[in-house]
Order: sequence, then C-alpha cells, then structure tokens
Amino acid sequence: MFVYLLRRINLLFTTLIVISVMSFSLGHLFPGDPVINFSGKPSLTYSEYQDLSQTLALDKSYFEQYLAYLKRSFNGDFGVSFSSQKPILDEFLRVLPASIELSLYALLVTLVFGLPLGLLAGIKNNRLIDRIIFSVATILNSIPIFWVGLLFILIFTLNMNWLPMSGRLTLLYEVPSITGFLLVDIALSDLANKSYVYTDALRHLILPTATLAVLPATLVIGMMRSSVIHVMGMPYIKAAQTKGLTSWQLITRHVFRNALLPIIPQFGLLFNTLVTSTMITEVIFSWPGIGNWIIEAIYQRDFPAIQASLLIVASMMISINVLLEIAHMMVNPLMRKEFNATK
Amino acid sequence: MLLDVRNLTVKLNNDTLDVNAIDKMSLSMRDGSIHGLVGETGSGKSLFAKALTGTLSEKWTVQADRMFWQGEDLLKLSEEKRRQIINRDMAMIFQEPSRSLDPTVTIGEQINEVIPKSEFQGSIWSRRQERLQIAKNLLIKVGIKHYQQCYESYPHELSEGLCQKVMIAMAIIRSPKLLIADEPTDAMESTTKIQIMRLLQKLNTQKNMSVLLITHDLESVINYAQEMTLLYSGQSVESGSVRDLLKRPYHPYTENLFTSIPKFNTDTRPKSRLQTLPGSTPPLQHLPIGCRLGPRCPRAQKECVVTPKSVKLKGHLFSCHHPINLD
Amino acid sequence: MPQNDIYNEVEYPGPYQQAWGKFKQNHVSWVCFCIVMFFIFVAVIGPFISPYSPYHQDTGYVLLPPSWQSAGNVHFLLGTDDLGRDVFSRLIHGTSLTFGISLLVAFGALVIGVSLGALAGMSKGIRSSIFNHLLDAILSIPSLLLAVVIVAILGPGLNNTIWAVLLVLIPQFVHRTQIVIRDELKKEYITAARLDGASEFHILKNSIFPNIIESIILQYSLAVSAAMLDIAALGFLGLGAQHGSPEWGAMLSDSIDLIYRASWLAILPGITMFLCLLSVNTVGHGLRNALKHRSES
Ligand SMILES: Nc1ncnc2c1ncn2[C@@H]1O[C@H](COP(=O)(O)OP(=O)(O)O)[C@@H](O)[C@H]1O
Ligand code: SF4
Ligand SMILES: [Mg+2]
Repeated sequence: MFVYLLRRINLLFTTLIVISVMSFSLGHLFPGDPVINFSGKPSLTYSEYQDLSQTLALDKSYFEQYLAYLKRSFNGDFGVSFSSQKPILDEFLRVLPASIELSLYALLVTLVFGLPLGLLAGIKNNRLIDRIIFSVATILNSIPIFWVGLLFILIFTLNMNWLPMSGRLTLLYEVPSITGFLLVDIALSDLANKSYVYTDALRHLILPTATLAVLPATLVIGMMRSSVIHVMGMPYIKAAQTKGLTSWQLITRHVFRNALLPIIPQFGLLFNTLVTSTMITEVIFSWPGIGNWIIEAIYQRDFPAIQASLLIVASMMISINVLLEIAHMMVNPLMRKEFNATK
Repeated sequence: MLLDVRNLTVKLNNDTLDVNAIDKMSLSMRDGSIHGLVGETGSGKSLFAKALTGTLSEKWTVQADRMFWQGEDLLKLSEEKRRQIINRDMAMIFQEPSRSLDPTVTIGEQINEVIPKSEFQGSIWSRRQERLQIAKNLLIKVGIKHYQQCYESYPHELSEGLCQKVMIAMAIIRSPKLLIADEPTDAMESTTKIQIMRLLQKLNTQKNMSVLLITHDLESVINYAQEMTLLYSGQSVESGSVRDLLKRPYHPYTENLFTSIPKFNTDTRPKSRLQTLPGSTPPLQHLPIGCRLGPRCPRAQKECVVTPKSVKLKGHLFSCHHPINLD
Repeated sequence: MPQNDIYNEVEYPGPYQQAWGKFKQNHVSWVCFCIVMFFIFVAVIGPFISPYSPYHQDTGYVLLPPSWQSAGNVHFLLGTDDLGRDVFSRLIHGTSLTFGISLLVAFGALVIGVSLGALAGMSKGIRSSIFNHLLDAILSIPSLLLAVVIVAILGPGLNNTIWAVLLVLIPQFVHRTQIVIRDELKKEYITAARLDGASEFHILKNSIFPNIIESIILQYSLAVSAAMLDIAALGFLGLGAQHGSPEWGAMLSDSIDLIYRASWLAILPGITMFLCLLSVNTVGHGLRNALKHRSES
C-alpha cells in the first residue's frame, strides 16, 4: 500500500516536472524576447529590462532559469498579462470559478444520466432498450461539440425562444462576486428578488451544461455498459442469481459495484474530455471562464497567460488522474489483491 | 418425482461451431434422495447443473422435452417465475468457488445477504448481533476454524478450499429442497472431504434435503448416493440405483468404468494393467455422430452411428444398441 | 476410398479473413465503411468536380437557401452564404480539408508513432523510463489544449494546425504501440522465438508486428476521428483554418454571426461533419468488435 502510494506520487512528481519544463521552455519558444514573455511587460526601458532579466535569472544558464521559474510558479507569480497588465494568477482565479461551476454541473449531469443508462443498457444487453441507448449514445458521441452548441442555440434560443444564448446572467442583475461561484454568490448577496435571479442564472446554465455534458455522458454510458456486460457474464453473478436475491438487490449490491470499480481510473479520460469541451462551450456561450480566457489570450498573443494556463491546467489534470488512481486503489479490494500479489 | 428431465439438449452456438454439448440427456430424481451425476471431466456435468438453474450464458441454448420440477415445467415458465422457483427451492454449489463469490464484497456480507428472514427470532434491533451469530455458527458447521478472520476476508484472500466451504455454507443456510453440489469437495483435503460429505448426508436425512451430487469421483457416489446417472461426452449412459448398477451394468461404458477401479473389481491381479477403453474422450469440435462412445466401444456395430434410444429395464435406464449382461 | 481422417475436417478461415467476415456481417459497420469510402472518394477527387470554386463569390445570389426551399435556386444545390459562395462546393472542398487532411495527418502520426513506440517497447532501462514519464506527461494534457498551445507558438493558420495535430497524435500512437508490444512480448511464443535465437528485429518484424497490426489500425481510426475534431475545433475557435476557408470548423464558426438569418449555414456543415465522424467511429467500433470477437472464440 505504502509502496504503491510512493510510486503514484513519484509519477505525479516526475510528470509535474516534465510539465513545468515544457511550460518553461514555452517562454523561449514563443516568438519575441524571453524577458518579455516571462514577465509579461511589453514596453520596458533598458534599465528595467536589465533588472527584470536579473530577477528572472534569464542571464544565467537554462537550468538556473528553470529553477527560478519553478520558484516563482510556486509562489504563484506567473508574471502579468500582456493585455490587461494585471497579475496572471489574479486573472486566472477570477475566471476559474465560472469554469469549475460549469464543469461540475456538467459532470453531475453526466453521472446522473450516464451511469444508470449504461447500467440499464448493460443489463438488458442485446434487447431493444440496450440497442436504443447504445445507438443514441454512439450517435451523440460523434456530434462535434461545437455543433451541438450551435444546434441548441438554434433550437432553444432562436426557434423556441426559451433559453438565453450567452453569458451567466442577464445584464439586469448585478451580483457581487464573492466566491466567484454564481449560485453561491447569489445566496450570499442581499438582492431583493433572489428567486428571480436564481431562475435567471439557472436558465443561463441549462444550455452550456447540456452541451458540455453530451460527450462525457456518452463516454460514461459506453464505459459502464461494457463493464456491466463483462460483469454480468462473470460466474459470481451467475452464482448470485441462484442465491435468492431480488433482481434489485443483485444489481445494486453486486453488478453496480463490480462494474463501477474498474472504470474509475478511466474517469480521467472524462475530465480530459470535459476540459477540452469546456474551452469550446465557453466560447460558444460567451461563458466568462478559463476556456474563453485562454482563447482570448491566444488571439491577443498573450504569452505569459498561455504559458501559465498550460502549467496550471495540465497540473490539475495530472493531479486528478493520480488522485483517481489512488482512490480506486483504496476502494477496490481487487486492486489491493493485485498489489499484494506483486509486492 | 422431484426432478424429471427428459432429452435435455444444450447447444453451443458459435459461428464456426454448432454442437450439442449435451445431447438428449435424461435424469430423474426422487424426493429426499442423494443422486450422483458422474462423468469424466468435460462430459457436461456442470453444463447440466447450469442449464437446470438457468445460469448459462447467452451463447448456449437449452431445449428439453420436459424439465419438470415438482410437476412444473421450468422451461415453459417465464424467466422471472422460473428464477423465483429456483431461488425458493434450489441452491447450488458452483464448481469454481473463488470465482463464484463476489470479489468486492466481504465473505461476511455475502453470507448475511442470503440468510433468510425466517432464521431470525429476535426483534429488529438485535438483528445485527443475530446475523453475526448465525453466520458464525454456519461457518463452524462447514468446518472453518478461523471463522472470525474468514468473516472479514474478501474471497481472494481465502484458499480455494475455504471458498468452497463458504459456498457450501451459503447454499445450506436457505435449507433448499434440492442442493446441487458441483464437485463440492474438489479443492479440499481428504479428511475435510469426508466431513463435508457427512454434513450433506446429515442434512439429507434430517432436513429431507435432496442432493444432486455432481462429481467425477465414483467412489464418493458409491459411498453416499442412492441413485446415479452416468454421462459420457454429453450423452446419458446409464442410470439407476447405485447397487443395481454395480451389480449388473447393461452399458459397456458403465462396466468398464467399474472394472477400471480396482476396489470394485475383485478379480484384479496385482501389477496387472487396469482395463480401460482405447482412445480418449473426443473434443467438442470432433464429436462422433450417433453413440459418442462408438469409436472406443468394443461392442460397436453399424447401428451405433444412430444415437441409441434410452431403454428402461429392471429399474435401469440405459442407452445402447448392444447392451451387455442381458441374458 | 479410405479416409485417413475419421473426424470431419473443419476448414477454419484465417485470422484476417475471420475478422473481416465478422466485420462485414455487421450491416451498420459495413454501411458506414461504404460511407467512409465515399468520403475518401470525395476528399480525393471532389475538388475537381465541384460545381464552383469554394471562393467564387456570386454577388447576385447572396444567402440563398438550399434549393428545396421555395426561395432556393437549383444552381446552388445547398444554397449560398453571405458572400454568395456555393455551400455545396465549399462542403466538398471542406471534405478534402478537414477529412482528407485528417487521414494524412493521422497516417503521418501512425508512421512516426509506431516507429517510436516499437523502439520504446523493445527497449528497457533508464532511457525508456525517462521516455515513459515524458509520454505520461504529454498524454495527461488534453489534446486540444496541447494543440492550442502549439498553435500559439507557431501562430494561427491551417498549416500550423496540421503540425499541431500531428504532434498531438504521435504520443497516442507511441503509447498504444508500446502497450501492445509489451503485451505481446510477455507471451510464450516470443520466448520460444528468442530461445530459437531470433534477433530482436526479427522478432519485431515476424512475430510481433503481424499480431499488433490490427490494434494499430484501430488506433488509426480513433486518430482520424480525433484529428478531424481537433482540426475543426481549432478552425471553429479561429486558430486553425482562417475565416472564410471552406474547412468545416471554420464554416461553422462563420455561420454563428448569420445564425439568425441563415440557419442552413450552421446545419449543413455540421451534418456533413457529423456523418463523417459517425461513419469513422462506427467503422472503428465494428473493427474492435470483430477483433474482440475473434480473440474470444
Ligand atoms: N464457456 C465455454 N465455452 C465453450 N465450451 C465450453 C464452455 N464451458 C464448457 N464447455 C465445454 O462443454 C463441455 C462440458 O463442460 P463441463 O460441463 O464444464 O464439464 P464437466 O463435466 O467437467 O463439468 C466441455 O467439453 C467443455 O469443453
Ligand atoms: S450404442 Fe454401440 S457404441 Fe454405443 S455403447 Fe452401445 S454398443 Fe457401444
Ligand atoms: Mg464441471
């Protein structure tokens, strides 16, 4: 157990180092002067330039530069943004909650729909209901996400006029940003007509969440379905069928658990998809989150921002993956077996 | 009749292969008896048990003239109804014990969930205690000494023999009418084997639990069972009471089987070769047509390319065109 | 005539034949395979047969709806866009751009990735360990983010997008190749070949490669679909093919501003791309099932 943890953490560290090296080298790879790229200050006088070069250790060897970069990153100093000239970390933290909020709801929707549907399809393998679920999932899986967004807008905003097309809130309302999570902020605010604001915020959430959830949900359905089919063929399920359990007991106690456990590590893939899709969804729905911010940074050729976002997002992804693996290892007795066997 | 299966055929559907792994096999059991189902490894014993309990995977199709359980044809019932009856009346000890226990649930929980409600006497509040107690008694009954440890373990932490005992414990707690025991003592040492067999025998006499004892071990069938059915390559060979069969087998295979065991063959000289049939059991891909014993049978003649019908004679049921010991 | 074999001999089809037969048995996969073939056909010769140039602006016919609508015009089968460009022609050219390029890029990634993967898979020790960590790191970054960063370095544009997608796809091939080679190396027949004195290269070429080629084809189908998505997504975000290009993603992106007036501009490229992706994915699925089925039986 301990050795396993060490191994995972070792993997986490080496990967993080690789990522930071990549991110560091971006400063040199981007067109333009590294000093400007690292600091984010485009117009400098000669003495300022020299000073900065010294503080960033850019006059030293690459290795020392890298160490300095690492140190700055740890202190949360990613330089300032080209376009706004504000510290990147502040900018990042300002847009992060919106993205997390959106992804969280999408993840919730994904699991709430994906797991039961996948389970149902797997149990009823080769029956009509399975065919329907599986075909629909396969079809939805192939729709490019940006087109999903456009279709939703076309149908629900333009044709039906039901739901708003962009943003988090109608401009009418002004919610002071405290945590950055809109639904929490509304609760914390002292607006008079909270319920209206809530309705408005939720209405704004529906389309982006749905758009974002489509692809991960199809993935979950697929994973869950094949896992359930595999489990249903196992001798212990056959044996359990003769043990006097009701179908419900059988499914909840034996099938669901055994099917879910092995796919937990694959949820990393889910997060991967989620991050990618968030970027596009945010652009379509003008959602003021990280994706929008990164794309904006690229349009503006805001190199410090791009560099920082690569480092932060990639580190988050890796951490999530490793955490998932460790969590999987904790909850799955079979993993412990394999681990014990190879110790 | 407790169980009456006629002409059961279990077919393996595959694109390159389409074979009857069990071909027109029949078996009937009296209420309250111990019935042995004997055959070599691969002769389809486990398949029969799984076909009976409806736990075969989709690639098999099961057909039968009838499969009567207490006068009700199981194959004609809806899947839901059938499962209910099987859950109520039958329990099965599967052949691969460690693979037949849920790997992610502790033994204790798995035992708990099969304890029928009728076992509890106390109020709801003392259920937990009671459960624990029942489970422990059960584990002791099947001869598990370190029951506490066993209770908290996951299946993969136990040996195959222990898993088998747990399976047995879980099967007998529900006091089923019929216990299907597929090689129940396969992975145990010989002393525990005897204990388990005695336990099953005791349950048979005291609780009137019928046992279908599936095994390749002729000796234990002869020791414990009253009736037996012999299987060769998926076809039934002969069935009847053990004593009659021993005394006077009609089927060449039966006779050969008994003579191949020195203990039952009184005129074996020391160091002589054991009598066996030439050749070996055919693989599923290359089953001969007609009587599957044909290529190996010393009495085979040209009629044998047609599958023999089963004939009833003096309490035996046998399938052979040229039976022996008829006179 | 005496038969020297008493059992009836069953003729077993070869492994590739078996997989192919199984694949063809599944009608959906087969239909999708034909659709993919059709798209390949269009991608290759489409640009020569399209009725108009994708950039040809017919100012007389601006924002013409598809011809089946009453306001449509048969000369412009699928209508025109805001600059009077024929949507049908643009879609055909888009097939070459999005799908055709994806096929090529994925193939390039396959060649490079499989070679690297074979090297890495056959080697052991510290160098391979470092390589693996590098690979793990790259694979943990979402592919679109990586592509976006590469485009940020190289600058926007279709050419740079191609490079970015190529670079993103290579690690996936390396990873897949490495895994299957590792799996294969564990098997006994490889050990047997080793004991017979076969060289590493010999083992790779004669023993391993025939056994992993299907997994690689499978990975190729995944890569094509990923490449299409990434190319189109970058086009959509305005980082890939530029504004006005008939690349599908760019076309969709251009349609946003007109979505109130000309919904077909948003729907048609989407449907085309969806159909193409669906076929590619389904073929991939069918392939996987056929292979899985064979390894089971
Ligand atoms: N899952 C399976 N797939 C294909 N053939 C099988 C499978 N399980 C069993 N068989 C075949 O069915 C026949 C009967 O098997 P089984 O009932 O397990 O024999 P046993 O009498 O040893 O219990 C054997 O010839 C075996 O090869
Ligand atoms: S039917 Fe023929 S081959 Fe079969 S056991 Fe009887 S004599 Fe032998
Ligand atoms: Mg068996």
